[in-house]
Amino acid sequence: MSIGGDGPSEKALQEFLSEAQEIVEQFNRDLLQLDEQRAAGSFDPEVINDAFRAVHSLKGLSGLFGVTRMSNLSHNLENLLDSLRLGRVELQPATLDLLFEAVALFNRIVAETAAGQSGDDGANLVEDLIARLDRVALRKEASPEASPWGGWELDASLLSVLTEYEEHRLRENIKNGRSLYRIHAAFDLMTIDKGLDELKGRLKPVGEVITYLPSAEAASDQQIELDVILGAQAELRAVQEAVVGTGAVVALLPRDKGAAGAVARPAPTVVPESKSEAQAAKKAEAPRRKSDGDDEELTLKSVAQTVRVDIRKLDNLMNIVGELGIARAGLIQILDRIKADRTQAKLARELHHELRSLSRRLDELQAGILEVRMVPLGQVFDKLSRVVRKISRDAGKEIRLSIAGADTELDKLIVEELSDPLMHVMRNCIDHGIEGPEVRRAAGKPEAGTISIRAEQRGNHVVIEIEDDGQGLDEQKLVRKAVERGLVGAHEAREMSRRDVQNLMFLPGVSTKDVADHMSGRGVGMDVVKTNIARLSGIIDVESEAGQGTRLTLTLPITLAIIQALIIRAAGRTFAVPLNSVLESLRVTQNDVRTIERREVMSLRGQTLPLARLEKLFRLERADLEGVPHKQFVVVVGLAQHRIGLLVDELHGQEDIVIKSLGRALSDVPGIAGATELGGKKTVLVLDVAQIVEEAVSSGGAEAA
Amino acid sequence: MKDISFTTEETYLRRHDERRTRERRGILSFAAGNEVYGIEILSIREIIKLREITEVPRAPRFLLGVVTVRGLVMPVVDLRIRLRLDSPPLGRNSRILVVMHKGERFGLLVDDVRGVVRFADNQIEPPPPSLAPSEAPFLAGIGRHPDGDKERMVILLSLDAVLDFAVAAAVRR
Repeated sequence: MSIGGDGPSEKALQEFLSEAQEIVEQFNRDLLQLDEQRAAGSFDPEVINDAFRAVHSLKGLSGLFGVTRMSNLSHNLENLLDSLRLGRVELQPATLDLLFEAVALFNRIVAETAAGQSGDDGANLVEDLIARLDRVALRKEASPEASPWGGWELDASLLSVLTEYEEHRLRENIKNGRSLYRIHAAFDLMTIDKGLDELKGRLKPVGEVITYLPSAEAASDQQIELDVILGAQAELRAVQEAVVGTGAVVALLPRDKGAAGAVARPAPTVVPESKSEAQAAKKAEAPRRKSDGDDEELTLKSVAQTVRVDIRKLDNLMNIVGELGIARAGLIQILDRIKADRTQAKLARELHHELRSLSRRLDELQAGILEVRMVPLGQVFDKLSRVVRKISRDAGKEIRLSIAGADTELDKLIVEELSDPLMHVMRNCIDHGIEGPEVRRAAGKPEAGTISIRAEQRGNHVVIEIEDDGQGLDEQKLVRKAVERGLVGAHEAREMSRRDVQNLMFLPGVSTKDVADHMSGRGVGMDVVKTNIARLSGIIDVESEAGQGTRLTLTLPITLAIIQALIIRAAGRTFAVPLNSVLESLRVTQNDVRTIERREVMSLRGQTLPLARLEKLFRLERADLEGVPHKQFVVVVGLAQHRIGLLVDELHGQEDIVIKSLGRALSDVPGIAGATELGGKKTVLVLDVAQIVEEAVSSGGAEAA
Repeated sequence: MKDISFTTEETYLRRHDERRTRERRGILSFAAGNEVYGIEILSIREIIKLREITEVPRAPRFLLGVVTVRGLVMPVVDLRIRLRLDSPPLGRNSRILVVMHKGERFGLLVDDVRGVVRFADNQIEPPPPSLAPSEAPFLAGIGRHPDGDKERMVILLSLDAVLDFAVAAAVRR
């Protein structure tokens, strides 16, 4: 299975697998883009070239590491992509399906290779897919039309030097009714690479560079003159404007007038602009290869200037930074002691100065490590697009997925943990939200349903909104189900606000669809989604309008690794409350606290704020005899619209803390997100505000658990 | 001619195995309640003095809370409550044994650490069937070893059983 007998080292193999994973993800993005463009009518040939290059590198790499299944698959995939590139095969939905299948299979091979499995059944799948790929790749399409050049008078000398790919692109441009231009430019011998790149860069927005050829005209010794052939929808003037200042001369190629109108039909044009920034970045980084990918040599140098790091190593660094923070707190205490001694004023000043610069560096270090952990949400969104494509096909519904804010960044761990819940949300939207095509037509909606995902950063949080234009929630049915299952009382149900009714969808066992079909019958409901989001200290909310659609809003913290926390004391215990969920804190006396239906509340700026006491929530005994002090503090906490006030005895200021897990045995204790070490070897529990708010709201304040 | 036999990998490994079974197992013995228990020394990471334990709400009673040792947070199990023994007040000799179990650290609160004893396999008996059913699952065997003219007994604990609890299920609504 490998080169040289004893095989690549474990580390090298891991490196290879993660690189392969990245390439497959890139390939997947290319395919998604193609799919989108195909639906819009015309696609950017560069994207097929990108896909081709991705598979090409995959082939080379996997061959090097002896992962035969992967190299065989890439080899055959490459053939198919080559045929697509050259226009021998047309890009049809079925072909794209095959390509997406290959993505899934690649992922499987990566996973199996990582787990050290040879994956025998996987091998059969590879064989099977290869056979089908080949069938498509070798399919003969209709022969090109008799008069291929659409009336354009093209030099025989030009045609004779075009590669098959270039010729295909030329035909495509003509077919799409674009005009052909010849751009004559002279370049200095020394700087031709840069000059040509610049020219191509300027031409890219107006059209497609089909080829460039050395000019027939005589050139001086120091110069090379090139003719660029450009296919563009744009008028001559626009092309001229694009190259203004480069000294290039633009001319429309001569054309036989009679034939012009006959072939040139206005085709729907997609201006091929790179959709995602990631794509653009990759393009900019990758050394520009000649788009003709026939050269077999594969560069061994990595393309990207990046290092892949095990996230645990970052966790470890984060821990160390946390410990340094504790050491800093200790030093500050020592400084205070020295300050108290008048005779040591000079020493105190110096120490103060040094400490300040240490603090600043430490903060930078912390911010730096946090930044390294951040990855764009696009990583999950790309996976989602693939899933949506598959589910919608299976469900026989046409879905348009629109994504905004894919470059919003979140902690890697959160992004990883998000993919499953988001996938279930998508499934739910397609299965339950968006109606079948007939129903939609009858309702006067476009046949294709739309799911839009928007992500954006708001302060310390990232908000992800998922909206569909489906039928909305059936509120009556939700209530009926919830009452049937005894989740809410009949009386209670009548008094519920609309928001509360809609939020019933997150209760276990409440589903609006009576018959579990093969997809939603997988036993994963919105309650699991909610639990998973809550585990990430996030909150999920629903808003729905009958007949118009449903919107889910996920609010998540940017990172779980290091956070600012408010240190509080209640019933003789110390707790840390993540500051990102603290809205304000205020001092109250017992007189401010009122009781409504046995729930403690207070009014805050004219609004009623439900209160919760940690000692009741957690059943803590008060050790001190005097009991609840008369003066207390209320820490108003909340995420999204839910807010409650935590009644606590003391506030102890803010600290930067590293949240650590309590270990597997205690990982699921409700209301506790983890623990952290404060100065003096003291371990303090960190509250899981989302869960506490949830509990307090759902169970009516104090008497939870 | 003398028969020279080379050690093959196989025979080497077999000999190594034999040596290991003949070798005595190191057991850390300690007092909990009024009994002497033992845990395989290999699963013990360190022994620390008693320190402040942060109570975790909604956890079972035997789970005293969590401590941080060298930057790692770990749950602490009061072995005396876990084994349903008498709990004498904690004193100067009380210790927390930090054990590694299935890749995670736990603290075990015990009354006193006695030392390491070594047993050959044939010195370890299976647990007697007469034991109370509540205690039986925690026991891995009984080790006897001579100590001067007396014979001492150590009850070997099964860490698997002692640390096999699912708090989540117990406290979830």
